[in-house]
Amino acid sequence: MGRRLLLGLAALLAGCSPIVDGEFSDIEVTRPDITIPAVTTATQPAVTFSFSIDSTPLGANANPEAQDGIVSVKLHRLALTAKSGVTDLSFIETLHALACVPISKTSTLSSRQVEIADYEREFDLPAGKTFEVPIPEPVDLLPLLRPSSTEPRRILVIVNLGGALPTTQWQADVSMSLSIEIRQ
Amino acid sequence: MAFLVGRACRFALLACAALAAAAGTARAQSASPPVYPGYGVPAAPAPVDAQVTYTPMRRPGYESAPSSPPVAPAAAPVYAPPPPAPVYVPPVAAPVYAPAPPAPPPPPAVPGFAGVPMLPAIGAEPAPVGSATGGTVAAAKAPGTKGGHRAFGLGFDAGMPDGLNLGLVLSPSDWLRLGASFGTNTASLEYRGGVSLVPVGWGPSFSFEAGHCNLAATNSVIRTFFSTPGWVSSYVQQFGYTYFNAHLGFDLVIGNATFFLHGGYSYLMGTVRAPKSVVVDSNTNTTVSIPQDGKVYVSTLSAKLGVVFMFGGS
Repeated sequence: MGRRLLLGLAALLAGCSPIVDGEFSDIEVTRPDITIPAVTTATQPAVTFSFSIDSTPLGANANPEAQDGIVSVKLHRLALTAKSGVTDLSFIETLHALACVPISKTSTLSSRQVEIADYEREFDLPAGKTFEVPIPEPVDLLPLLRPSSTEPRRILVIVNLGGALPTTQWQADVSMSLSIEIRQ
Repeated sequence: MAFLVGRACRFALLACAALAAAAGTARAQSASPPVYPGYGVPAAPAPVDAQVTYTPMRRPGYESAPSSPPVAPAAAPVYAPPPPAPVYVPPVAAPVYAPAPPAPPPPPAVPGFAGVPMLPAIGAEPAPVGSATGGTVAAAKAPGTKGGHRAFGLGFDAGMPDGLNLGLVLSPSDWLRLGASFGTNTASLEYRGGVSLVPVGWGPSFSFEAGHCNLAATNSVIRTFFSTPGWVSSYVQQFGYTYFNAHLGFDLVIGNATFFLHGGYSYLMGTVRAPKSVVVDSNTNTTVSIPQDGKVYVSTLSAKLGVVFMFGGS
């Protein structure tokens, strides 16, 4: 009898709480002024740089209940926009990008990571200060927004560029377009 | 000699005639039953409806038997319908004047209702004085209502997601109210239309409404009612929505005013707009912007409290 009463009360409370479904098809996250180092050797024309994004504004939460509120997070677009040092990004021949949640604030080791871009140029790019990284299909970033209680709520993005890179450092803005679905 | 022959022939003829007469008498006696006078029992008469045949008796001296008596030829049978059954016609009684029975005495006053006039039901014709049904019909009448029906009114209500609304009410019948109103959810202009069904004119009611709140900047009231996760709230800079209500309620009629409390289910389709980008990390100047409007769908319980003043109509 008591169990039935509790179940009925739980059902009543569940019925009273509003059900919210949200769809944000285009949330643009821009990380400005990322410094990209210069190429040191001409024999290995590649450079790797990284930057981090606070994932709390995107809904990252260590609480499992709050994590269930986010149904889907997908990356649809990744773009680099030259800010200083260069005006044309058509020199980029390869781009590999990896997003991960580091195991600590000072570490680059990660237990969960997602490859977000794997680009190799097949034909010459038009000259321009913005380089849109082709993404064949949306990339699921939801694992990156479900950190454990010991992991920082931060997404570390590691980018490897290849091509006829500048010999001086330059700066660019990195923007990512996400879609997020929530349900509470 | 000839004389002798003639006499002999005449004698022979007479003898033959005597023999024939004797034979006829004997035959007639054999056709009828014998009568025995010693028993005194009369002979049974011949049946009346027995077929009678005429047999001519041939007597000496007749050249031919007499013809049968003339009989009228039988007519061809013709169907004649039976005469109709007689119908009973009651005798018409002469009208007699009888005075109308006196009206029954009024029911005894019930304690607690003494002094409360018995009013006819809403929409019913007023019962004549002395009618036996007047008191029975008045049992469904809301206390305090008047007999006439008022078709127009002015309504005001407050609730969520409706906000504050003021509008016109059209009531073609006591059980039906149509409303159109304007209002605000404290952030934007709102307009709404709906219908309320009040089956008995007061008491339980069913309301169905649809409304729209224009897209506008959010405020604390909107953010309180539409509680969102903390990380989303900064992106909900403008909010507008269309909603549908399905409410049960109770309508209390006092005079020309109807006070109501409605509650039930609401479905809401909202639009979220963030025209300004949000700096989510001041150290790195990381920004989040929403170029395309977000869509929000909410299923929630809702309620509102209001009053309608009816002032028009008969």
